[in-house]
Amino acid sequence: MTRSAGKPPVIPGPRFLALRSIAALMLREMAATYGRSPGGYIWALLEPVGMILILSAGLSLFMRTPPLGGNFLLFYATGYLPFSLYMDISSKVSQSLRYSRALLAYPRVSWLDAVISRVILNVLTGAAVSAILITGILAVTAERAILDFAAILAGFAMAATLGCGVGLVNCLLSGLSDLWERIWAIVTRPLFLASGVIYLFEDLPRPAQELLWWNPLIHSTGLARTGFYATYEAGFASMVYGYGTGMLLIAAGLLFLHNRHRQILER
Amino acid sequence: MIRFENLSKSFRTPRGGRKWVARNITATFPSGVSVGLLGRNGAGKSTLLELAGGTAKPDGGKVRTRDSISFPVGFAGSFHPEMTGAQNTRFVARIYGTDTTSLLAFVAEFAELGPHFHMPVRQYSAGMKSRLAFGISIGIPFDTYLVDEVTSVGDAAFKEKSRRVFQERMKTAGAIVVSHSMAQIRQLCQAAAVLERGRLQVFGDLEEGIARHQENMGSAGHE
Repeated sequence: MTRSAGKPPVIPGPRFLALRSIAALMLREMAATYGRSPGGYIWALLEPVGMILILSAGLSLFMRTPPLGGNFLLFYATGYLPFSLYMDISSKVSQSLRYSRALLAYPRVSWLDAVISRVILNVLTGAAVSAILITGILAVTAERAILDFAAILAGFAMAATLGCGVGLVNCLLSGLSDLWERIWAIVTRPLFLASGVIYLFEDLPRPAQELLWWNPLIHSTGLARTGFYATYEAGFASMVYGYGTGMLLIAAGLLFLHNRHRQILER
Repeated sequence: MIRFENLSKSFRTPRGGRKWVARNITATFPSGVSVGLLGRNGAGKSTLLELAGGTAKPDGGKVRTRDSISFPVGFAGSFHPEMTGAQNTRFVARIYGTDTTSLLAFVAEFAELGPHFHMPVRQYSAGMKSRLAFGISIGIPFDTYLVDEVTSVGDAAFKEKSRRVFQERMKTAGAIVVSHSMAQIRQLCQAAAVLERGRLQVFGDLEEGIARHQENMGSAGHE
């Protein structure tokens, strides 16, 4: 009935158990995601960097002078980076239960570990991509920027919070109904154009402003830009609305997933 | 030791009835003993293993244990095809917090994969995959191993080696074994537990348990 005396506890107990499986899941995803390509996870950084450079080169043909500053690349990056941080986190988190389904057969891995590991990995990846790109742009171009790190962080963290919230809620809804994924894809198709990536909120006509103010992402891109352009204030942006929406979605997502994750996994 | 306290678990059947796997079961699986879990097809033996391992949640009651309990021995569903055998081994070692280096060394030697150990699992044959899976499960020093119908893998020499390693582990650990082969149960177990219509009876004496199980199977024919 008891353990034989003197036998060392070879398998550590449940302390730090969650941390251990979160770390293991992150390392696993890093090893697996770009497993086929030589260079591995480096591509998670290079791919978005390349895509932003190509896209902004194309867009700069249409818009010679950006609404702020003198360099289109910097203007585009300061809007696109928080936007893509939101997109990456929300899509990765919404797929997290499906991605890790097989691993949940290990009683040590909980559904929450699967979600948290994806949030952390994508926040870190997104932060690294953003830092590399912006440093590169500032180094190469003649643009002079006085960086306000608090504002930059506020904008990017808002995008991450929203991505996390939307991802959790979508994980729940797409887990319960196959239709949801399709509907969401259609409804959010114009999100790129509606989030203030290639324009400023202030330059929009009044009716568009009134409608798009309700898109929390436009607050995030606006806030992030105030950190790069000292003359820009983004007076419309509301921390309370952006973070409030994100937190509310996170709370709802966690609460319902806690009750429903078994149902979703058994489907 | 794994203790079931007033454990209940049931499923809804398509016809609107209810199928009971566990009906208020209170039973103890002692430490360091290999117990054969017997019961007819569909009695819920696999579900009972999942309850013991913690992957299924009981409707009522509790599973109490302070032991480390394995995932089903030979479980290969978690292997990522793009990762090498070694990388997949490392992942399992990390979630269970065992020493990565020594598990890698054990599995590399045990699974006889040679250079394939460092190649992506998608290139493995079914046999190679099962040898890897068995190596990982038995390489981690659990207190209790859960075995659900281990279909033996590999050639005669490998089977013999697997049996030897398993029995070596059984000197310090326990197991719950589900198998339809009474020969295998006799080879691996010292005690038995019989699951019948949601009731579980633990027999300290293996032959007594097998006799009860065969009695149940026989009476099923008359229903």
